[in-house]
Amino acid sequence: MIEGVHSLVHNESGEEWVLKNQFLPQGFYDIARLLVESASINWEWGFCQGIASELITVNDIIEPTIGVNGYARRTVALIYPTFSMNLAAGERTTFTSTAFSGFIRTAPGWDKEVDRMFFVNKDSQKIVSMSVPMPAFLTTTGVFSATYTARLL
Amino acid sequence: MSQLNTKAARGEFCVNGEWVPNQLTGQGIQNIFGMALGDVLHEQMQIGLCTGPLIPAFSKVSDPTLLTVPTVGVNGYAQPTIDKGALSWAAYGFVDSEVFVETTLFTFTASGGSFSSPVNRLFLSNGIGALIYKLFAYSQPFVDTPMTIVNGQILRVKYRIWFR
Repeated sequence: MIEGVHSLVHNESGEEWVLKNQFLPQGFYDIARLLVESASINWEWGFCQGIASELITVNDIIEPTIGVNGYARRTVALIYPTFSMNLAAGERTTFTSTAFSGFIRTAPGWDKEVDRMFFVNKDSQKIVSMSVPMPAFLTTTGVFSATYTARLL
Repeated sequence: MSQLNTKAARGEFCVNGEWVPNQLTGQGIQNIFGMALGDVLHEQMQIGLCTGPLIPAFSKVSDPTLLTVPTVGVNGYAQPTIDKGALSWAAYGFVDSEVFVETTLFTFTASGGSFSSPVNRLFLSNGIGALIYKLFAYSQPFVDTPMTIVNGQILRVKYRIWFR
């Protein structure tokens, strides 16, 4: 497995959470499928409580109710330019998303406590990537922006 | 092999049914992921035969004199192209917790005479002919002593990458 990083920024204060994650085999499966088929694959980006494992699905996590106090997943197309590849120094390739804004958490907060970010395949509902926990449950309200980067080799 | 297995991805070539480990370069994994995503910067790859050093210098733009490649167009030597899609990639799936994706089978056939130089390795590059511009993957030898591919001889090859 490889490690990636979810970078979450509170737009108003600039407070930032940098959360390492595991990129799960189901994420690689989606990329392999893209190579072979003319598939359209969308991931969704969200917040949860849970523990990463290889074959985890949304049924294995605790996620806020969509529509309650601003909670919504963001749809992320698994295609360039939403994700792009870059070769960094030392022959380490990075897989990087564009910046997404608009994760909204209005007072008094979402209906479930969250300390992780995840990507899920929109069709299969299989989790493809999940972050390590934040130092504490997210309590900040407002609007957040996020980017995702993984190093591949 | 143990060093290769610590990385996020590894590749291997298959020559007439025998799997041969390889070194997959950073620019190789970048290109294959970019190809999958439809990244405008990805390049078509070619698969070719060669001889070369034990450990090539994986510079971003490889020295074209690093590898010895048969001359394209001489006695049927050509380098098949690999790009996104089912014409180049034949299969993907899980084996245990690893994901693989595998190319179709390509053939190298000597016709009218032998290839212009002996070979014992395979490579992926974006090169045309004998010039290797970027080396994406480089196999270990599939035979110890470089062999001449003689008139009528066929090598059937494919490439597989594993993600973890």
